[in-house]
Amino acid sequence: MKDNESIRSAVHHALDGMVRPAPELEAKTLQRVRAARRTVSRGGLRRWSQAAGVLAVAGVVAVVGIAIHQATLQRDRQGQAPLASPRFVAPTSVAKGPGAAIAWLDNLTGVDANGHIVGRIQTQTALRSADGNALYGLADQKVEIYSATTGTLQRTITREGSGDLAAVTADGRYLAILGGSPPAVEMIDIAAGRSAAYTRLNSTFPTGGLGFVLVSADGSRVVAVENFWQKPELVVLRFDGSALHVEGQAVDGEQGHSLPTCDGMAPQNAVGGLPERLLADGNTMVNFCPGDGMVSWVDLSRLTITAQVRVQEENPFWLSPVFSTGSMLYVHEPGTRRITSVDLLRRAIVRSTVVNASTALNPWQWLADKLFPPALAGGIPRSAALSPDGTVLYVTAVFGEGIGVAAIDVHDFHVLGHWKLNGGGSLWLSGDGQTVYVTNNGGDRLSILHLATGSVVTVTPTAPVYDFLPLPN
Amino acid sequence: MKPAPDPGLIRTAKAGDEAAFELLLRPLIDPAYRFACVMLSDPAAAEDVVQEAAVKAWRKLHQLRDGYDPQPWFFGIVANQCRSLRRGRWWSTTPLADVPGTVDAADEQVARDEDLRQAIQQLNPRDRTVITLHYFLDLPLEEVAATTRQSVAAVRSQLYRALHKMRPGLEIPEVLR
Repeated sequence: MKDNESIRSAVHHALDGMVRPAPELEAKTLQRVRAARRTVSRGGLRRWSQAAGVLAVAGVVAVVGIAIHQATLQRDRQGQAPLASPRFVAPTSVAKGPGAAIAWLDNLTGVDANGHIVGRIQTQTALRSADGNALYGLADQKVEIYSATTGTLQRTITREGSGDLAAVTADGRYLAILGGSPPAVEMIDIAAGRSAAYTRLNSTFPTGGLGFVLVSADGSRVVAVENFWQKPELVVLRFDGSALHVEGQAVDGEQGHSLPTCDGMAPQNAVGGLPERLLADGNTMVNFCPGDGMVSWVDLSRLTITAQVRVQEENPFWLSPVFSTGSMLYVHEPGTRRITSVDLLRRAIVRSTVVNASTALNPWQWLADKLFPPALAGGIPRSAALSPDGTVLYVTAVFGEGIGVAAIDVHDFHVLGHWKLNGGGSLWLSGDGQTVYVTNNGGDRLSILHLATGSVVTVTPTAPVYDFLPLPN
Repeated sequence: MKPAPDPGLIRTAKAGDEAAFELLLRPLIDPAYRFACVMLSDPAAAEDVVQEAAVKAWRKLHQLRDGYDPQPWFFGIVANQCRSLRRGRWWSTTPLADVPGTVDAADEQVARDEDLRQAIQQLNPRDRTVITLHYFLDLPLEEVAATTRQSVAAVRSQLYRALHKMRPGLEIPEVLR
């Protein structure tokens, strides 16, 4: 008969080695509880369950709670990333909702700043809401609205069409959708929970190629583009709240119209989608083509190109364009570490510089550059993101065996800070500006950098992760 | 047998006294951490879990009845936290440097320990919970039952089955028969 105590002794012997001494755990735990208590007390609430009933206050509490959570947990998970400029202070914002702090990966999994999954959704095509709190899933004849905080389905809006190219207005009210058969544009009134307008395009309008849809900030103007590879076709529509009216239509090279094209593999592979923007005047479309580095301005009244500049590039398969909420375009080439800024109002390149943030981490970088010219097959990572206030560009770059994230001042490209971590793939900045999520080049590692503390959580996805659902800006 | 906590302490803590809550919590942190280490096989994640569980315990303190032993109540929160963490992660955490390495087969004791550790880690979470609570944290069957919200008889039966899974030929202690 085996004695119960001998089993206990054997189990102790076997499992004691699994427990790493944690002398500071008690102090950290008590500190954590005190911080949580203070947070709730400041809100005038005794219990979180009560706070949940007051949504507005709960939102504020959640933001503070997340900040506390980040500051106390992830340091223990992995430690600090080397920081070259410890005085760097990341610009932050509370303009977006709490859901904007959650990264949604291209496999439609939501991950919080501690590397924990918050939810998953299943849909054909997904995009994020303007405030970051919701995800819109485009399914056949319906739009599903999910919580970005939990991934739970909140609402379903019936729509007429089945298009899968979409853009959300800056005010977050409308969703413009292009595509389907026959080709059509539809406006979804998210606030009202209904399809506000649906109009079929000319039957000759191509579908199924390389296309995109743009919508002005207030939803009053919609631009649909197809065949962007070659001989593109464009339709401009006006939306009055209840109907869509075609204002103009053009095919490149016909009837005196000229439209930008973007031939080659680059845009097809661009994980971030096609880089284009409707400027604040509602009448100017700007396109960037990674294939040849061309930036084009199109007058939507005249339906023709009015200006073009070419951004210097060496590898069309590895460029990352970022539009600011204002009037700037930044193009980052991680292989060469070149950053170019383009003033979209002045229609000119402002600055183009090779930023050497990463060489400080690898003195042999110049040799690696000579021996191994940068190249990436199969996709274009989104390697740059802009801070909420538009003043800092976060980029990830590869240099020999070392990979890092750098914070760049957009005005003079001065390196404000950089961290050595396993990046080199796609990069995403949380809506509050506090957390950088970055994948490695192979997509099998996700690193989460907390800018305030320099702490990093590193996790290994079971399936490759190449990109994130972007937050509209 | 550890002394039962002062019922007045729970009342004071529930009334909002921070010091009283900390007095209740302090002795629970280390065993909770040891429990989470075994459940997660990841000391760093175990630290996270204990901290998270402590905050949840404070938020749920009103659910703790006066005079009730807070230890199984807190371990229940830790177990739930471990479960949700394991469910929520589809990736593996980066291996830590101090995770037990290769075993020298010549060292019989080390080999036996490693063998037993692997056997425990291969148990399903429910079985591992009762084994860990009873044989590693030395909780009596009554407290294991309170933690896992089962009857003592059910716990005894589960321990019996878990031990059998770990060692098909193991002689089962009389207390579990």
